[in-house]
Amino acid sequence: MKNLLYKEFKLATHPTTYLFLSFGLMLLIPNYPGYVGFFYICLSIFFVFLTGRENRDIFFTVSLPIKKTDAVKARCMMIAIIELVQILIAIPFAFIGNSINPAGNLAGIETNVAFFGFVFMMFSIYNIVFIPLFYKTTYKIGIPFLFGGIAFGLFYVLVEMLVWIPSSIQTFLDTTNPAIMLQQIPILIIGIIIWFAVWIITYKKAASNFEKVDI
Amino acid sequence: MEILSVENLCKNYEKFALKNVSFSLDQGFIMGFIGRNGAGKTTTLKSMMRLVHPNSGTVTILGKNFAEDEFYCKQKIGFVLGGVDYYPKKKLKTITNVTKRFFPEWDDEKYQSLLNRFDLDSEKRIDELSAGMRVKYSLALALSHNAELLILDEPTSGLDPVSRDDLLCLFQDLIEDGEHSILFSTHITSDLEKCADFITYIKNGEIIACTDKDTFIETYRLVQGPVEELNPNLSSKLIGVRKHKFGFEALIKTIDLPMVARIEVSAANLEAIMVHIERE
Amino acid sequence: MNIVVSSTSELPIYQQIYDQISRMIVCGELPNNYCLPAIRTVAKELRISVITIKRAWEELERDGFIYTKAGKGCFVANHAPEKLSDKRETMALEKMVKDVEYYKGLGLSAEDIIELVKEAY
Repeated sequence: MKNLLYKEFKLATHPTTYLFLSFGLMLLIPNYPGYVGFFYICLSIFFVFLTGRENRDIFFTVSLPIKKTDAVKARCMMIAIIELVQILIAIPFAFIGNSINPAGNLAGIETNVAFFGFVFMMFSIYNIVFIPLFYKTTYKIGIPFLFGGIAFGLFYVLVEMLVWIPSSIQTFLDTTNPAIMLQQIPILIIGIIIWFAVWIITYKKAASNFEKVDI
Repeated sequence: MEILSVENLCKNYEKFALKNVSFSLDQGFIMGFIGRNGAGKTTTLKSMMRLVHPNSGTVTILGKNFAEDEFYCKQKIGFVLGGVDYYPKKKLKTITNVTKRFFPEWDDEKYQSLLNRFDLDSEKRIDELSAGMRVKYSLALALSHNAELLILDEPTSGLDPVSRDDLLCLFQDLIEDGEHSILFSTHITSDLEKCADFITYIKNGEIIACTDKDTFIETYRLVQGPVEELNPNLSSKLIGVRKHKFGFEALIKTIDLPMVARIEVSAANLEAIMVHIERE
Repeated sequence: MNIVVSSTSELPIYQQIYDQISRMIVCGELPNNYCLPAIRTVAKELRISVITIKRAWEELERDGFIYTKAGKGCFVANHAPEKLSDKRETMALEKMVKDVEYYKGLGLSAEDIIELVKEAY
């Protein structure tokens, strides 16, 4: 598995992956929807698969002495690592952003603890739609990405609605008040749990799809 | 010793099927896998490597079942599907550094000496190599992880005659030690005339011959003669008859040769055999 | 030791090799116990199939021209000089039988043939 991960990062990553990782910086932009920067990472994951097809990555990988399921596992792990790193990079910028923009974010949810919980959930949704669908054919990439993107977008609209429609939920979610942020921690934890659980399901489903594919 | 044995490999598609494909290869020999485009050569090779899931059949490498011992078998095989065309923008050394990690028996010294022997520059990118050089690079990789069986899908297609000859020469060099074996698919009969020890012939997903080259060629004769000689008995034995204004020409099995003075008999070569068999 | 193989000849390649080596043995070009090169080396050098060379070697062995020492290789068999000339005669005769058929077909008598042979020699 270590070797396969090495292969993923050495051969399969796309330059935009590293570029988009820095898009945590976007959290510094005043009054800008915070989730957008994270969508770029989904885009770069799409690029990884796209260039993989161009480079005949699947052929290369399966002719190595490995199990087909491990090839999928390595790819899923790589994606998980990218997503985690993206979130880790974004956290300090969220803090900085909040401190230099004291008026708060008018374009969407404040970048608070709950926000990161929702980011985890968004990644989960993207992963489970895009990855298994890709491994059904290994050559169709646009359609899986379209569906993944739509799913990501729908969830995005849903959570943003929570902070647009004035209600008690809005006051609970759309704030950087430290006391309330502490109370938001369960949302973050649930986000992480969902992300992790969905990652396992995603991998299992993708691997079983890939097993059935004739390359 | 048998290095490869394929038994009753079947794969069904909607419009095509591999039907009970069986053949075997002894250590130290070159087997040419021949057939027309679309006859099932690539599907067979992919099914053997389990890139395509066969509906049934077993593949044995050095006595081990491929399906059960995939890891071991893949160590012993160098599999090249139409030259290295993956990661064309990467340098050889990057690909090598990734590849070698997967093979416990990787031999760096051997790799370096093979690069020298094949005139490969590890600083070059894959897409800077000619088609022939790419095949050589993949051979260098396979030999460096001590593969004993090299399976190549159409390694000579797209090569000019000189590079093709060069590659076939290399094949013969590789098997001289009696330990390495090569299975390669091709539709170029002269490749086989030049270097194959054995021939496996596939037609419409079925193996119609698997024997040593000399026996295969001697099994057939070319016959020519006047159309009047074409009685039903003779016609039933002729393969791929072509009638023309001045007579007929056809292939026939040597055992079926008629004793008719007016029929001219000559030795057949692989190309003539293939053309006539496919004409049927 | 020189071997010339023609891929356009009507004779199978193993037969061509057999003929040339047996001829060299019969005329003493290859002495008794001369070690023949390894089959795989010959195949590689001449660029023909290992099986073909193997077959030529097997036929040579079957006809008593060479013998095999396991693990060592193939050697020219020990022939007493008179035995060699016997072999030479048998080989010549075999060829003549075939040729005579052809001359007969042309309507030549035995005397005619002898005359022609003398003329050609």
